Amino acid sequence: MFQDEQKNSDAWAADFSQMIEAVSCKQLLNNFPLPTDKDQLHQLLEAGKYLFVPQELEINQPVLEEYFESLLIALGKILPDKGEDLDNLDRAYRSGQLPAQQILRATISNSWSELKVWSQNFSIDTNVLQFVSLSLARPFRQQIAKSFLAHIDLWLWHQGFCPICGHWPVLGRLLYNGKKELWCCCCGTRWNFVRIGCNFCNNKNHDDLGFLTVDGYDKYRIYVCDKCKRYQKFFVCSEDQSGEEFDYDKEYLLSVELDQAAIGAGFVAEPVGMVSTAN
Amino acid sequence: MELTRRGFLTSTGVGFGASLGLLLGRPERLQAATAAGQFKTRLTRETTTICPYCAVGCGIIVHSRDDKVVNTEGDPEHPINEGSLCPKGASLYQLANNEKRLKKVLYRAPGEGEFQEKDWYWAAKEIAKRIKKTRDETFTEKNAKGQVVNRTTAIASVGSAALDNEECWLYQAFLRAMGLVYIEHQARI
Repeated sequence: MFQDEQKNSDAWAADFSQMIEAVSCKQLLNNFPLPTDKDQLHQLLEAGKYLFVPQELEINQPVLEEYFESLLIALGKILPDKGEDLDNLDRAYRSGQLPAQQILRATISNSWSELKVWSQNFSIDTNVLQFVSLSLARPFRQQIAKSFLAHIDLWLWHQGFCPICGHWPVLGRLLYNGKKELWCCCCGTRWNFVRIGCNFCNNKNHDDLGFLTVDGYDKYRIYVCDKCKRYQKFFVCSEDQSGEEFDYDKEYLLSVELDQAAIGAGFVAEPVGMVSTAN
Repeated sequence: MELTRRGFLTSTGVGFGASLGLLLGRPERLQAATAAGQFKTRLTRETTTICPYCAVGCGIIVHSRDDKVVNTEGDPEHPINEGSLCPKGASLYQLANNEKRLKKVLYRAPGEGEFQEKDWYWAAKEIAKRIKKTRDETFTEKNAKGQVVNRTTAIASVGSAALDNEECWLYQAFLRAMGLVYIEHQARI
């Protein structure tokens, strides 16, 4: 039953993913001073430190505003029961009280307390505002990530959090060759991780590790750790799903119900906006 | 400002990942599924092991549920095989789970049609007895030229790839002490 409904609703997730991808290809940043010392970057990776430290960015304002407005329209269709919250956000934006640049700046700096204040001041559901803010920042972080990735060798990275922005992954893939790949929804980076090990606490004790399978969701596994009680969703790939073109955004949106399955089984969700304290 | 886990959870009340489901995923369906216990989950453990068959020693991941093996696959991170397995290693699952797997000693006497169940103590003694009998009946002290050979050509050994070098030395020393000359190792075959 659930899978039949899911097939019918795939389209909205694919459209949302394509919208983000389309914006990512535009000129989003006017000037981003990228560290180009490859040795220095590799030293940071080997030390387990992520590369992008939040800083002031020169944003292409017209592109940002055009994207923000499109985002609100798209979300209005995806979340019809959150229409009032989106209207309040739109009103705050158009009145100049909450510029898109301000939301972007707060998100890039992981300043969630500011979002909470805005959510209260403008009567916007906190979850809605968080989702808008992460979606808004995503293409910008993704362009920054791409710049870094062109200069580094990711095989040096052995941590469970994103090597670029430090956020914890929300989804991974079990590739056809049996290897694990993790994905950051904040900047779109993908990286490999050990097959048997918790990507949150690095526990490698087999007795504490395993995965949940959920009836009706055959293409997913939820890897769990009894030590830190956190879980990580993984998509189990066939051979033709193991390539670069895999749409993580779409699968992430379509797999949200599995969070409830994991929480119901006694595990804890790592908040999406949480950044590793490694740096 | 970087937010700590405690601050984030305090401010939002619940992890964002968890609430995304309610935000996006048809809350009434989630509540119905949770209430009806329709999220049926099963826990499977993953453990690494080494293939027992040959000297290559490929890495294998064993999936187990309630202490029973439910699947085996190559370990992609093992430096020797990087996830690939030969047909024997790939069918390792059947070492644990196959209705045709022998779990008892079965013996069929010469000329008999049926197997009888025996115990291990009987089997070990019988094997030792027959080796000695064959050796004693076929042991040759000198060959046709009168040279001292002290051998038996009625017993041969093939094995064992799962032994390490020191164990292999011990094994062949034991065989040669009994006078065997037909000593082979299946890794060469």
